[in-house]
Amino acid sequence: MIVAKNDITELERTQEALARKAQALARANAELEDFTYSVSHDLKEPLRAIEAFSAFLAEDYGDKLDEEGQRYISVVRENAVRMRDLIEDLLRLSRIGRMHHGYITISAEALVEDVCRDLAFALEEKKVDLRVQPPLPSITCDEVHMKQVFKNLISNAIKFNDKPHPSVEIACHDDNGAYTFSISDNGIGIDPQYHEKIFKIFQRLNRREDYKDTGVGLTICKKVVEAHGGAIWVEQSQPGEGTTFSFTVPKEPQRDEEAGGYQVGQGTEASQHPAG
Amino acid sequence: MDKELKPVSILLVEDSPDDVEITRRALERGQVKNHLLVARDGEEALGILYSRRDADGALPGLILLDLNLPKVDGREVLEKIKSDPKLKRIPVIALTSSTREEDVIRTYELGVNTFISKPVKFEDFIRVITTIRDYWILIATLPSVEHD
Repeated sequence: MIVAKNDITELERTQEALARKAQALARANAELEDFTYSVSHDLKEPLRAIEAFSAFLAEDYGDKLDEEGQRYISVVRENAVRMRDLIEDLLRLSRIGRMHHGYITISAEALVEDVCRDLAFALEEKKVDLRVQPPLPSITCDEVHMKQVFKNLISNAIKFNDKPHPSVEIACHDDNGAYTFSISDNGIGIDPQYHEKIFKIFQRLNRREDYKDTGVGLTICKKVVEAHGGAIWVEQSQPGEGTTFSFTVPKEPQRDEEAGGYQVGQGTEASQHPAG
Repeated sequence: MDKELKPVSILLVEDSPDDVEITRRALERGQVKNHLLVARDGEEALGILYSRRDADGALPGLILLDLNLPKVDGREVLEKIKSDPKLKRIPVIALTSSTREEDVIRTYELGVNTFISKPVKFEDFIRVITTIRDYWILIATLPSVEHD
């Protein structure tokens, strides 16, 4: 009897310690997200000034500069744009953790249509042959975040594509407890040795002058998919043979409070950040 | 059109000198004539408004107001304008880097006429400024700001 009682006390102590660790971890995670948000947010203003004044320099003094001088200005401007894209992607990434929109059940078909409207310009410009293998099911998800997953994967399929007529195919199959979505393209493909590495933040595989990319998009996808209790991966493929990304969305997704990085009841971003 | 003959004066309340200059340049683009007055903090803005009001001078036709200001905060400036019988008719456009929902709601509750989040992208910023100007000066009818 006494031994059993001691065991229980021991167990309670361990559970308490574990709960404290979990709390500390959640707090550290939240602080890190606040930090990312503040840094990204505060970088925006000086950046706007850099962009604006280099544009004014080009407008007012462009004709007084030789070719080399004009090139220097355009290097400044291009880099300001690149930095802005990076900041916006970082903000998007930190919002995934901060912003909570609640789960709703929505037709994936409608979600994809919505994404295609957002990407209409790129789809048109590159004459993309986009096929959605209907019917896509209804899924329970954070609509804003899940839309971002489809958007990133579809725009990657268009962006990393050297064919005169890029094709993108979106399919889905029912795996009992979850739906597996796949987005396939006929683009440049990904070397198998990078299939896991590409989900890491800032990881890029191509030279900047070939494909403009911040290396944040797939990190966002992974974070969202995993927060819903699913998984994301690249299907076996070779460079030059196109790429297929697959991800699962559980039919009964993990609730926010169970998922890492989600904070329940935080309706607005930057609640600690002063307006300016 | 009368409006084109008579430049509208715009009071810009903004503490960042860079943003003042970007806004000034944006307002100079296009054909819409306007006269820009600049206040660098809330206190200066209220000083300009009160002295013109008390001297029965011409008040600005439009106010572009940053919310995060030194000394007197933009929200307080807004509250003072909207509770003053003579100043409250002047349309106030809040221009801020905040995107917080509670800021948007609070500012509208204080009587702002438009709430705009400053875009980061410089071209978008210029477009937003020229659109505000064209909307308020060319499309909307502004109340008379001359002394009655």
